[in-house]
Amino acid sequence: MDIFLQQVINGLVLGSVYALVALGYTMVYGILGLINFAHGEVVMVGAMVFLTAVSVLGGGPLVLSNSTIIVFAVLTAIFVCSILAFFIERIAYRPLRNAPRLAPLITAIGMSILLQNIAMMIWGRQYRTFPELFQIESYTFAGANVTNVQLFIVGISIAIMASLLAVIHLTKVGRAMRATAESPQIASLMGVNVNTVISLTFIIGAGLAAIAGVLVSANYSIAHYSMGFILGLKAFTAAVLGGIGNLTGAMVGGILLGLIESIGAGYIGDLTGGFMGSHYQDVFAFLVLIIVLVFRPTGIMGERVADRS
Amino acid sequence: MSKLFLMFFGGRKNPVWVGYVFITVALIILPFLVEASMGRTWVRILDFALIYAMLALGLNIVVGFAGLLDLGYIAFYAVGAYTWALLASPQFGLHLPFWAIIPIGFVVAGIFGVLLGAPTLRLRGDYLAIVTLGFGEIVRIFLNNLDHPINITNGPVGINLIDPIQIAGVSLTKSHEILGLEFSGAHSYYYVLLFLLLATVFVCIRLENSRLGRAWVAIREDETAAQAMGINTRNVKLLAFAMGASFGGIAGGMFASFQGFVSPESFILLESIMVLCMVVLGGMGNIWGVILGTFLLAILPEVLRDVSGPIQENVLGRVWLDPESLRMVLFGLALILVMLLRPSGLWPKR
Amino acid sequence: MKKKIIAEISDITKTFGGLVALSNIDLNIKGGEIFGLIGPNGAGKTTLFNILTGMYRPTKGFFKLEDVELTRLPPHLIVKAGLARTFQNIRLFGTMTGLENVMVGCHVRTNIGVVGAILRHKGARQEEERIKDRARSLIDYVGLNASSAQAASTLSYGDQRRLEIARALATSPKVIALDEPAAGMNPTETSQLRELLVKIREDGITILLIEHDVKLVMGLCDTVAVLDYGIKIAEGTPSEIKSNPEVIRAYLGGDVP
Ligand SMILES: Nc1ncnc2c1ncn2[C@@H]1O[C@H](COP(=O)(O)OP(=O)(O)OP(=O)(O)O)[C@@H](O)[C@H]1O
Ligand SMILES: [Mg+2]
Repeated sequence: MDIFLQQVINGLVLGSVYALVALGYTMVYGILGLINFAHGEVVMVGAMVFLTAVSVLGGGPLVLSNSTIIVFAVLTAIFVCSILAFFIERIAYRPLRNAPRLAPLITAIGMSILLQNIAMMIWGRQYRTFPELFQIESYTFAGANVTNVQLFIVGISIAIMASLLAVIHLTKVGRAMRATAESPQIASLMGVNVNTVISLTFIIGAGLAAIAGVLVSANYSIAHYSMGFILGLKAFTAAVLGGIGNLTGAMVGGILLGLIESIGAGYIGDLTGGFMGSHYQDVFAFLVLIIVLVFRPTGIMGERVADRS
Repeated sequence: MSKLFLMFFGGRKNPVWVGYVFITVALIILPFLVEASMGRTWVRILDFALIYAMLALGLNIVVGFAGLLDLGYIAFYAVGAYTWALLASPQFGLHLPFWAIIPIGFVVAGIFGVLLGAPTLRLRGDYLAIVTLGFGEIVRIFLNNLDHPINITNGPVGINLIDPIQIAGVSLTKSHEILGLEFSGAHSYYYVLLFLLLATVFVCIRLENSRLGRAWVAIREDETAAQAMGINTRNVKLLAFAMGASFGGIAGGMFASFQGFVSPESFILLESIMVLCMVVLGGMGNIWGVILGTFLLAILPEVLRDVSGPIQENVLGRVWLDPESLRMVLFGLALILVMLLRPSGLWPKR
Repeated sequence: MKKKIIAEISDITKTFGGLVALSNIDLNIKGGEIFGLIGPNGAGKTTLFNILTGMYRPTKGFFKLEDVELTRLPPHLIVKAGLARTFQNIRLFGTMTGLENVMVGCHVRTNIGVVGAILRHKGARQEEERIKDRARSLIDYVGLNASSAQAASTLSYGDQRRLEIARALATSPKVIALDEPAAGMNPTETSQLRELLVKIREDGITILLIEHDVKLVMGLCDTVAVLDYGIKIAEGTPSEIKSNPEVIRAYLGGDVP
């Protein structure tokens, strides 16, 4: 079996999920300059709602085909997450838009703690397993294994990111979002309703997060109330790696972080002569981040901010 | 009565020292009052609050004064704790006295502050936050895994049987009877920690009102203008990292010796976030605000732990919600509410 | 009277990507004069300041102050060598008081470190007192109207500009570079500013002045240089500049009749 290719495949799968979540961070950051710490929890809620919806629909009086169940469950997850994100912004961030910079960071942390523990009350402490909605098939490809789930994850992520880029660059809404990211004051002078744009940004980000939540739980076959925090952290790291505020950067950063992590985990033992095992996977990821930022302080795709004096 | 009141708090003839005597006496008898009214566990909680206060004041130098958002601050606490643990436990068979370990911990943590601070000097704002977060995680992962090939940290199990502070051969964790009063380990540590906290406060106040303190605030307000005024921003920022880390290191050492064991579990990201919340919630940059924030956040979860079960029983007839998660829900809500109502913190500067 | 050259700017060039913001600028500034730097928006005046003060690295060329080369040194060493500046869009330390802002300016001429700050021994106390006295006298010197105990961000616009000058003077500069100090001032404030600049010159400090207010520049400066699209198109006394056809064309556009 080809280890390198195998790790690349795993990395791409992981990376495309990171990229989806990173987009949510980067869009909010681009417009509000805020690290939305609660975003990871939205991913978790997406996964949990999906699993609940599947069990409700599957056990209900109607006999539905599995694909119908999946579609409805995903839509439910997107819907719930969008509403959740809408209210998070309204309650915890909007009142603090002109407050000192760290105030919304603390409310975001509060939100994250709140959501995680409410989720624990609703869904319990135990791991939830992903139901068998489809046959998992494995293909061998140049000495490496790839499953249909993995192919699906990468395919769906690419399709979603492409449509997001299309929306942002080709539609009126997208133009309003870009204008707001550039300068909220000027955008509002040009007749953009900044509050609507911000709400919309949170809703779109939450939709992506819900899908990402479904995809990760499908990939690992489990979901847990605490899965969002670390995932969110990784995704935020990816967004910074790519250059925060930059959509393409978030995608590149996500994929790159996924690759670094899985290739790093596969080879770190050899690289350090057995001194460091795969436990050091995260060290490797953070080191790459630090090295990139030391040489490019605004990330890979980030623009150099002209400091006009 | 009102005359007495005036004498203490506002009368013209009121010498300032009367107030100081009053506060000193209050601080001295506090652990006994706490024990008598709420039990000995609360003296321990009080001790941990003092340790957190030291930690938060150290972070306040970095975040509050110099404006450098550090999300990996707990790493220095960890460095201090493990320095103590390695120098005074059966792990390496070393048993250095506390007066030797404290300065060593101070210096080692300070060096870590400079080492981890140096690569971040060119980063601004949230980029700095994520890199420091990364460093914090790296330190924790190393602590977790440095049990092989050579066993240094004892891995996830952590280090046990750490020596307590010993003064003249007397261990502070044992109970002693002095003047008919029983001093438990928690009581004795209270006085040591109180002394260290007061020393920290003193140093922070002196630094704040100095040439360096002004340079830190200048960097926080406008780094470019600070450079243009001749401040060597690189050195002054490194100094902030080093000072903050050193205080964190001392706090970590006290934590290790008070608790008697350390493990990587105590130094997770959530702890960094917690200390940051103490600083911001209390009032970034204001020493007294930071102490207030620390005591609230160190004590609030404990209060919630005690009440969230019984209140449900009394009001709803039985425990409906898991008290542990209810407590965290309320804690999250408290963070949100306080920030919404007082965005600059409970006790902001100026 | 022949004055000695204090600052020598030679062949300074700066490009941003494809944009040539400054090309081969030579300027010689004499000690004790007010040297005016004018030019249309985007001519490269602020960019030149940023290069002199170490904020940007020049693509080419060098800069000497009293025969010591300062090119490519970090900003704080340039301040130490004796060049201070103000900013076009005021950059005070907002939450600090006016007095504290000026005290920060003294940073570079003082040296109490951590130990001194904590122990506050006699030397440290004396230095602190000296800084405070100097800051107070500088605030009087520039004629701040409001209380110096007020947070800088709450001061009026004119006071903020004056405070920036006081802060720069606190670094004890040989040359002070002012980037549009009169911008946004009303006529009374401008004439107070003119008096202040004359006073600074009388006290032996050389002034490098960027200003759009042509009347102010022509009435005040000993020498004036004109930049246009990064090129020095003229240099001379105010009266020479006024009649220079190149300058008239740069300002009015179109050809000189
Ligand atoms: N950091 C930078 N990155 C890219 N271009 C820059 C940068 N700084 C300045 N420029 C460009 O260099 C040119 C000169 O700008 P500069 O600010 O020096 O002009 P100025 O003469 O000060 O104009 P004004 O009178 O409007 O202040 C402009 O075209 C500007 O856009
Ligand atoms: Mg300019």
